Amino acid sequence: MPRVSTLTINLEKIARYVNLGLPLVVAFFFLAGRYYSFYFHFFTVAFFLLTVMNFFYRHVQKRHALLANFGLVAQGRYLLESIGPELRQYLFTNDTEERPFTRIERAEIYRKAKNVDASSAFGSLLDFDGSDFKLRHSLYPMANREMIPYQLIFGEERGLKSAWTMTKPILISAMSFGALGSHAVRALARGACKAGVLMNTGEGGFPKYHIMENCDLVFQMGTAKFGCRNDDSSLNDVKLQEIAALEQVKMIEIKFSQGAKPGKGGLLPKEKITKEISELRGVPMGRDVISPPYHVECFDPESTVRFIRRVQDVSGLPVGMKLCLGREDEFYQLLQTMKRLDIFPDYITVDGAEGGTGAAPKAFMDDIGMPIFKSLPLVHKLLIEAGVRDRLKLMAAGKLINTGRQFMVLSMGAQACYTARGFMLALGCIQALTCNKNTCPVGITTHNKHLQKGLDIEDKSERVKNYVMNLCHEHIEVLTSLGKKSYQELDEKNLLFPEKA
Amino acid sequence: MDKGIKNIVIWFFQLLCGGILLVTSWAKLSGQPVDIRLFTELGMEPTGRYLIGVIEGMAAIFLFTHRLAATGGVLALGTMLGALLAHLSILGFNGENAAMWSTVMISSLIVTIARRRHLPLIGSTFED
Repeated sequence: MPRVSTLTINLEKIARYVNLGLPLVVAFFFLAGRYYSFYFHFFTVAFFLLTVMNFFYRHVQKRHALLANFGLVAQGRYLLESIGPELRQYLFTNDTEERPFTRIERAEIYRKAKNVDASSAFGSLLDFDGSDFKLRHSLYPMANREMIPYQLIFGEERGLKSAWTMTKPILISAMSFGALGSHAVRALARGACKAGVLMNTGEGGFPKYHIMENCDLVFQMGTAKFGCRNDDSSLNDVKLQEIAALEQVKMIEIKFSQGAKPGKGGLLPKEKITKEISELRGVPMGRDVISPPYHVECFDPESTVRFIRRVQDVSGLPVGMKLCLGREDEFYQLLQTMKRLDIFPDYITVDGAEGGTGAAPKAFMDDIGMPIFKSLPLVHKLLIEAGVRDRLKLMAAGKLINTGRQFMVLSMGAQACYTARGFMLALGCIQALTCNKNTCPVGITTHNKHLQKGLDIEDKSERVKNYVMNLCHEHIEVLTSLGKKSYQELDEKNLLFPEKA
Repeated sequence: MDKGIKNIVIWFFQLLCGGILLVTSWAKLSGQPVDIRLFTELGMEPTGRYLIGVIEGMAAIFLFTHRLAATGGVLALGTMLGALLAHLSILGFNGENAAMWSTVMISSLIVTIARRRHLPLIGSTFED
C-alpha cells in the first residue's frame, strides 16, 4: 500500500516539547543574563512566570482537563474560542446565516433608518427555493391616488369616548425602561412622536422617560404590574387610574405572555437594576427581578375575562391583551367565555415565539410557544368561527421588521404590526447579543452612562422616524402591487404558502 | 470571609504595594545616586534604570485600579524577581531593602491571586 504523507499538527507532541522546553529556556536566559548582559533577565523573569503558570495548569488546577493535560499550549484554544463570535460575525458568517437577523435583513433596516437608497441589484440573495412565504401580486396593480388612508379605531366597538385612532399600521413594541437605557427610550419616544406612531411602554412601571417626549403610548401591564401593583402583585386600581389619566397614555395592554418566554414572567437581570429602576418598579436592588408567570387575578377563562373588564372600567381607555399562543383549545374556551359574558378586550396582540427579549432562559426562547405564521391565522380563524371577529382588533408581533414579513401577517388577519427589534436596529443595534449584560456596545440596552454617551437622542430619533416613513412608503407600493386600495382588502389569497410549511 | 471585608483587605495590599512602587519608580526615574550606582554595576545605566522605573510606575498605577490590579501585580512580581536575580548574581546582599522587597513580593502575590479573574488572556480560566 502506498504511504500517504499528510501534514498534521500533533498538539500533544508540541505540548510535550513546550512543557519540557520552558525550564530550559529559563535556564538559557539566566545564563545569558549572568554572563552576557543583564538585560536578558527580562526574558528570564517572563519565562519563569510562564513556567510557574504552566506548572499550575498541569499539576495544581483540576477544573480544566485540557489545561491539565497540555498546559499553556491549550490556552491557545480558549483564546481563539473567546474571539470566535466576533470573527464569525465580522468575517466568516455569510450574509444569510446570522441569527436572529441576517446581515441582509439588518442592512435593510439601517438603510431605511438612514434614509439612503434601498434598492438592490441583479437578484435576490435569499435561498429562493427555500420554504418562505411569498406574497402574490395582482395582474392589475392599483394607482397610488386611489389609496384609502389607513386608520384603525381602538375602542369603537364599545363606543368609548376615549376611542383612539391609529393612522399607521406600525407600532413600537413593548420595551421597558430597564430593558432599555434612558437614551434609547427617549430616542424611540421622540422618533415615535415625529413619525406619529404609537409606542408601547413595556412592563417597566411608571413610564418616566417615555412620557418625556410626548408621544402616544400604550401602557403595558405585566404580570408583576409594575407601576400599579400592590405588594402581592395584584392590581392597584388607584395607581392604574393615575397612569391612565396621563395625557400621553392612549391604551392599556395586559400582557399575559410573551413570545420569547411564554408562560414565564418578565426577567430583569440584577446587572441592569439601577437605583432609579428599583424605585420606578418598586423592587429591591442587587438581585434579578423575576415577575410571576401569571396574573394573580386570572386562574381560569372567566376570571381572566372579568379581569379585562375590570381594567377597562378602571382605566376608561381601550384595553388590549397580549399573548403568545400555546394551546388552541384554551384560547377557544377563552373566546367562548368572552362571548358568553359579552366582554371583549379592545384588541388582541398575538406574539410569535420568535419574538425578542432582553433576557430569557434558553429553553423558553428556543422551544416554547407557537411561531407567528402558525398562531395568527389560527386566532383569526377562531375569532371568525366564533362570530366575534368584528368585536376586537387583532395585532401581531414576532420578527416583523420589514415590509415583507409585515404584509404576511397583515394578510393573515392582523390589522397592525408590532416590532421592537426593528426599531432597535433603526437606533443602531449591531446584534451584539448582550442585551442581558448591561454592556450593549451601542448604548441601547445598557444603563452605563459611558456606553449611552454614543447614543445621540436627536440623531437617532430622526432615524426612527425615517424607518417608519420608509416602511410606510414601501407599504403603499406593495399594497398597490397587490391591487388593493386599503389594508382591509388584504387576505390569505395574497399569500403563497410554501409546500413544506 | 465577608465579601466587603475581603475587598477592603485586597485594596489595602494594592495601595501598599502600589505606594512603595510609586516611590521606587520615582527614585529610578529621577536618578537618585543609589539607583545610578546599582544600575551602573549591572551595566544597565541609564536605559535599564528608566525601563525598570517605567515598569514599576505602570505597575503602581495599575494597582490603584480595580480591573487592572492583577496585571499590576504580575508586573510588580516581575520587577521583584528581577531585583532578586540582580542581588543573587551581581550585587550581593546587604539586607538594607529586604523588608521592602518582601512587602512588595507578598502583597503583589496576594493581589494577583485574589484578582486572578481579571488577568488579561488567562483570567477566564479561573472563572467558576
